[in-house]
Amino acid sequence: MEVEVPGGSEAVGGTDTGSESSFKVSQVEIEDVEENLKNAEAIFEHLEQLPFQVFILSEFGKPIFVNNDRNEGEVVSLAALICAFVSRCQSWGDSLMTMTSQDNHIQFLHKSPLIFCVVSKYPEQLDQQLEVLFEQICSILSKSQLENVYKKKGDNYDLRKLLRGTDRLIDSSISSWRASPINLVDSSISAIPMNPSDREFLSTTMASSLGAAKLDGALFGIMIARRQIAAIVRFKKYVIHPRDLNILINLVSDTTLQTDSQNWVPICLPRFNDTGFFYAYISYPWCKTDQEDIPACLVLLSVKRDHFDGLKEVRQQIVTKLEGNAKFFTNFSQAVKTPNLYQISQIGSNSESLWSFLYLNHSSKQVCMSSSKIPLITRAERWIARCEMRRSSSLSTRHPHLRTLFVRGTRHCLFVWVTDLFSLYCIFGPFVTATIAFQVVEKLLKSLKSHEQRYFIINTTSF
Amino acid sequence: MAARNAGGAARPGGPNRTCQFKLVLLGESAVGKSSLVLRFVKGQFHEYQESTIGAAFLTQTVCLDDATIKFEIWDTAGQERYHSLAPMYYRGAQAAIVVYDITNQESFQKAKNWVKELQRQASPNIVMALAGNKADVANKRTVEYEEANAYAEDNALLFMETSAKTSMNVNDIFMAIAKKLPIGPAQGEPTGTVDMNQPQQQQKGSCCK
Repeated sequence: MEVEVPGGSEAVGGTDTGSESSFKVSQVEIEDVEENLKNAEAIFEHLEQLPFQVFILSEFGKPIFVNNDRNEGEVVSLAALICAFVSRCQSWGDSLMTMTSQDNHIQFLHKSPLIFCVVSKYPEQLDQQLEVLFEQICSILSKSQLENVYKKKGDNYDLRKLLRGTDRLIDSSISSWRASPINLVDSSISAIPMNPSDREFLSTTMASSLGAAKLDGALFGIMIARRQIAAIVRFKKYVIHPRDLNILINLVSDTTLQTDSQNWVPICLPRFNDTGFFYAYISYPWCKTDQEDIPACLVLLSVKRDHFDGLKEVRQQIVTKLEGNAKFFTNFSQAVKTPNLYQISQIGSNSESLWSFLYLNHSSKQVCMSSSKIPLITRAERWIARCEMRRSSSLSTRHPHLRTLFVRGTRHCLFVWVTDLFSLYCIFGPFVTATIAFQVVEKLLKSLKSHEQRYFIINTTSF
Repeated sequence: MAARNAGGAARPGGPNRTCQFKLVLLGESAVGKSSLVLRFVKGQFHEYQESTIGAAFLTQTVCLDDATIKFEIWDTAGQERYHSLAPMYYRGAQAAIVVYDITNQESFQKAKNWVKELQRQASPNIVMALAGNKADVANKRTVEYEEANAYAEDNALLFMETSAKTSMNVNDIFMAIAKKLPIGPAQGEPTGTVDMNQPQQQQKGSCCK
């Protein structure tokens, strides 16, 4: 695969090196810690107010990203403090992972040349959150460029220059990750519910158009809508990791990507190759057109930077073929505009006791979540449900031997079932018995199995 | 198709010839490249235009007396990390607008670098324009009109101060470019017109090193 480095070796030509390298950080962190610890109390008091706070800094202590706007001085001193903690532990030949202070959980991740830190009220899966952030940064710069830039420009380089304009991507990555239990469960994806035959038509259309174009290096085609996947096609045996898919989903769901233009975006998908770039042809074929607004996004990925015109042609063919099939197109726009999520009522008898569920298929990393129903309707109620799911899922990760769990609460009951094939997290009403819950769950699994192709992408069509 | 024929669409069979030209916008980040394009293509302006990621491709058609010109516009991101990708956009372009912000001296220096790079690397026939954007905040200007104008004259660039916000000179600069583009009768000429009905491949012929 071709390795491209945007902003890398060529062209830039020492425009902003000079002053950078002239003042190096001397290793005076120890004194700094003493200084910082004095006002640390005040800062921690402030942090206490926030549900979570994310810091990204260079291992030389330069702040790179903070998710809530804070004053520069405070950020600098906190960054120095974090850096001091991390480098101190490193000097002991160890690495700092977590700290807990009352109800604040602090997680660290040191991936040279960066340090990630999150201060959070919930302790669940913070390590994963930081990994995701690291990959998000890699997707912008690639890992190799990230590592090279400090070697080239000096330890004191301000990485914000290279990351300019991407704060909102990092922000939305954080917020989507925290808001949705779907991503929390092992970085999975979910498929937009569709008629199996419609999905089939969509995939084959995408695959045949891409295949016919014979563009050597065009590897994937993905139709995304509402942060869910409608279809994904691939070249031969190439596979795209759910984490990488989530990076793409985050990119195309960015409200500021121009929906009425075609976009050509270099992006590194670190799970696929963390040293090279894909070029993503991103278009929203039916957004804000005169007739109707279908919030679907077509992404075509190639490793060749000069494939724009070719992929533009492919997109045109796909769009024409899809629009040409009137029956499909009506169904598709319906499925995308008002997604028809899994209704718990379709399970049948006793289903009213089941309030919400989340099913994760381990091999495909795909998730199916029930549509919200009474009494988990409002934002606050759904948030509670998400927190319960999050808690259950972290419980099952911490105790790998855990297979089934039934917890009776005063407000609701929790039912967790983990097998090698799937994990299922359910919220039941408070009066359900374990036996009934188990019966309902068995029926649910049967129903999911029989509607598998509606809620999951079973086969990825290749071309 | 993405073609959004805003002005007069090309009349099939009419007396006018339709020519397609590739135009690229270059310049430092936050000088207003996307805003200029948005103003030109859609007549809109957003006070808080987010920075472009990668590059965006749009089209707009303008009518001249004797021809209809379809611009294929590459609105590139100005950030440093995308710099090495720029050749991909200006290679084979028939026109370029280098944009700076009249309130930001550094962006003018960057613009000069872009001009130099285009003179070295782009097609020798490329029509280049220099746009001093944000003319609506002239009270904060740090780049004098005369300075930029003199520079543009020395380098044979079209020059205008523009404002995407008030739309001052926005259409004018694109029109001025359109008028300078070769709408020659020589249809077989490799640069210039591109047959829309022909698939991707033909671009290779028109590329310049």
